[in-house]
Amino acid sequence: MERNEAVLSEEDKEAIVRQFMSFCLTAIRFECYDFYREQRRQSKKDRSLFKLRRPPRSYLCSGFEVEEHFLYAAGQGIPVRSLSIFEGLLALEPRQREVLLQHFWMGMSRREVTEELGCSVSTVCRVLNRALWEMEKHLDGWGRQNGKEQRAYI
Amino acid sequence: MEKNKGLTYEQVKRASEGDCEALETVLRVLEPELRKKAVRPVQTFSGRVVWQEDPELKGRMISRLLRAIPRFDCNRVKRKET
Repeated sequence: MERNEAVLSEEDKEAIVRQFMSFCLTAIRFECYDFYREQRRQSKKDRSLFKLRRPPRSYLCSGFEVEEHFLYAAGQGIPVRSLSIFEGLLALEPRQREVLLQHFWMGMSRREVTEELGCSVSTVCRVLNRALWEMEKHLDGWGRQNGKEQRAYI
Repeated sequence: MEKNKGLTYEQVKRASEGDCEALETVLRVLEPELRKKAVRPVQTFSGRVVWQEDPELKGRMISRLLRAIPRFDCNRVKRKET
């Protein structure tokens, strides 16, 4: 119901103020939702990257490894420091390795990987998830064992 | 009934027209709600979890409010159809 200010009664004015308050509270609530959704997405991405970047404990106990291993993706040589991760990457299918290297090591977004490989975003996501799962399996459950402890800190 | 927490119709109207003083009043009235929503658990370097106000979240909520308030229509009264 639309009215001019001149004909607004006191009751109407009170109702409008109440509406205004709930309007503001809704805006605040929706901003909170957006903020936490973004945080969740970011933490999910960080967690999967952290799993891959950090070498497994068995490797840390076996001594220091200074040698770098090189893999090639998008025409560039990419150094991989951890031997276990290097072996895990070699065990992947070429396409999975390519996607993983481009996304995590070269810092390309999923959309950029899509443009590079000429496939859809959903395909890249699927290949990426599958590759992460394979890597986790290859690292002898290291990521899964430490997942809980990592989740508490991220 | 929901409390108006001290806001008057004139203040609401001026705030929706972009008046800075009225907007400050609105933000002052909404401050407790903003503070309540902005508090979140943060882990310190020692590993302890403390609840504190996140300035980023609070800033985002304030900017969202400042973007939303001018869209509020002060001449429209919603009533429940009986």
